[in-house]
Order: sequence, then C-alpha cells, then structure tokens
Amino acid sequence: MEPLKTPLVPFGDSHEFHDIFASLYPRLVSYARRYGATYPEDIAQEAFVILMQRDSPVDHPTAYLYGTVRTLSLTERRPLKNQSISLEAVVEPGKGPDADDDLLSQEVRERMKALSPTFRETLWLFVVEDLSIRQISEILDIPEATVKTRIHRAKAHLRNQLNSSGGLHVLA
Amino acid sequence: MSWHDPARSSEPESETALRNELRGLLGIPAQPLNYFENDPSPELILLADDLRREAQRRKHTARRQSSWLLLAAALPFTLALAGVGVWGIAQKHKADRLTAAVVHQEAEIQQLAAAQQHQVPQSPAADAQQLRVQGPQPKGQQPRALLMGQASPKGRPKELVIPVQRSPDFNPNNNESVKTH
Repeated sequence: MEPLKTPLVPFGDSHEFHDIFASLYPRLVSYARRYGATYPEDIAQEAFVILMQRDSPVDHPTAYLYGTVRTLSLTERRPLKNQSISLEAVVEPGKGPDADDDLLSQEVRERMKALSPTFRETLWLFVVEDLSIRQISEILDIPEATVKTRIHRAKAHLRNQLNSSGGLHVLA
Repeated sequence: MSWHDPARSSEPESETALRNELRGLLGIPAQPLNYFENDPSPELILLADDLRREAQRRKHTARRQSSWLLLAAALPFTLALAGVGVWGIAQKHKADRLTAAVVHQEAEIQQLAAAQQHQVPQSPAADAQQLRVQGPQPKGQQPRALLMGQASPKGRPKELVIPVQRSPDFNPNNNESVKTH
C-alpha cells in the first residue's frame, strides 16, 4: 500500500507518524486495559483518530491521547449514563492490571497495589508511563499542585511500607 | 508541526530526580520501560495509515455536517427575516397609498376652500345689482308685505300702517294714535 504523503497534525510526515504511533500505541492499549476496557485496542485507535481529526493542534499531544483513552475507557465501563464508577472498581479488580504488570516484578506490583487507587494512578503515570506532572494534570484534569501532592503522598506511603517491612534492599 | 511535547521536554530537573527516586523505591530500573519496539512493524504501519485515512474521512464528513447544521439552524431565522421584510415592504406600500390619498383629499379641500373664498366677495355686488334691477320704490308706496300686515323681519308686533298724504302743514309731533281691536 502506498504510504500517505500529506502531513497531518500533529504528526508531521509519514515516517515520523509511524514511529510515534509505534511507540505510543502499545502504551495506550496498555493504559486502556488498566481501566478494564473490553476493547483497549479500539479505544487506543479511536484516541489517535480523534487527535488527528482535530483542526487546531493541541499543546500536549501525548497528554491528550492519554486523556482521551482514559475518558473512553471510563465511558465504556459505564453501563448507564451518569452512573459513576469508583476508581477502585475501575483499576482493580479486572483483567487490566495483569497485562501491564507483566512488565513489573511481583514485588513492585504488590507495592503498587498497597497504594490507594488515586495515588496509584498518579504514580503509574509519573513513574511507569514516564509522563511529566504537567501532562498528568491534563490527563486527570486536576491542578499540577494536586498531582505533586499525590506523588509526594504516594512516596511517603512507599517509604512507610518499606520501613515497616524492612525492605530497604530494593533501594540497594 | 512535528511531534513536540513541551510539557515533556521542558520538565524541570527536580521532577526527573523525584521520578528516579520513586523508581528506586518501587524497584523499577532507572531507564524507562521498553514498551515499544525500535522499528514499527508492518502491521502497525498499516494500522497507522488506516487510522490516518479514517481521521481524514471524518474530518471532511464533520466539516460537511457542520455546514449543513449551520445552514439548517440559520434557515428559520432567514425565513423569519424574509417574512418580516416582505410584510414591511407591503406595509410601506400601503402607507404610501394612504399618504397619497390624504394629499389628494387635502388638495381637493383647498381647491373647494379657494372657490368658496372667490364666491364670497361677489355677494354684495350681486345684492347691489338686484336692488338696481328692482328700481326705487314710488314715493309714499310701502312694500306689499307691510300693507298685508305681515311680521317685520325683526319680529316686531303686527301693526296696521295706513299711508296718508302728508299735508303741506305736516307736523311730525302733531299726530294721533289709533288703536286697533
């Protein structure tokens, strides 16, 4: 098939678009799976289409993609309109976290699970997805200060956890 | 525009240090996790191109849809405006007709008034002419109306007036009143 030549916002030329898609798509699928989406691939693809469909460019395309995936996943999980789902129900239980956690050790998984869903979500985006605080604030639609607070609280929880279990060997 | 994310590229060092610290606490290697392949697979390239086409198709459809929606939304207002405009024009024509009729009537009234004013000065002349035609009354002869005892024009009571031949030694103070029954 002949590759597309027309540049498309915000991906630039075809080659650049393929590289970015190849790097972000698996991450977005994994992120949708974390929210327990039934069809995480469809959601990740839809997020890309929505981004490319836009006329005006977005300031932070990565954050936009993650935010779209999050919204679509939560919407897919919502059987009735206006029915809210708790983060605990969204992130765990479900088949979602299993796939992501393949990349992490059992010990890390246990530590992440010990955190509250709110802190876990922020910490995951910051540490595992390697996103900035600014991007996380856009994805979760909360102020940057709140993101920082959550990260620092998660850090304190992790420290307490390590101190109580005497697991400082992880640092070593 | 290339894929440029300022939020990621302009990340302060404190954030990077915090991330590394958290990675240490969690036991995750300092390097980012290898989520993706170095070279995109042919399947991923095909999928990316398909998504790109889909985005372009939706973009065109959405544009067309939005213009149709705009048109549909503007149609009632346009119709209402056109209706008001037609009604206004009809009202203006009606007002013009009425104004013309009023002006015409005023002109007729003025003409009539001018004709009346022209006729009023002729009346005294006509009276004078009539008197001239009747001629002077013979001396000592009263009008027939007075002889027949009719009421005077001023509504005075009826009187029988007998004309008399004035004698040469007529004295206006030497007269006799005769009562009638």
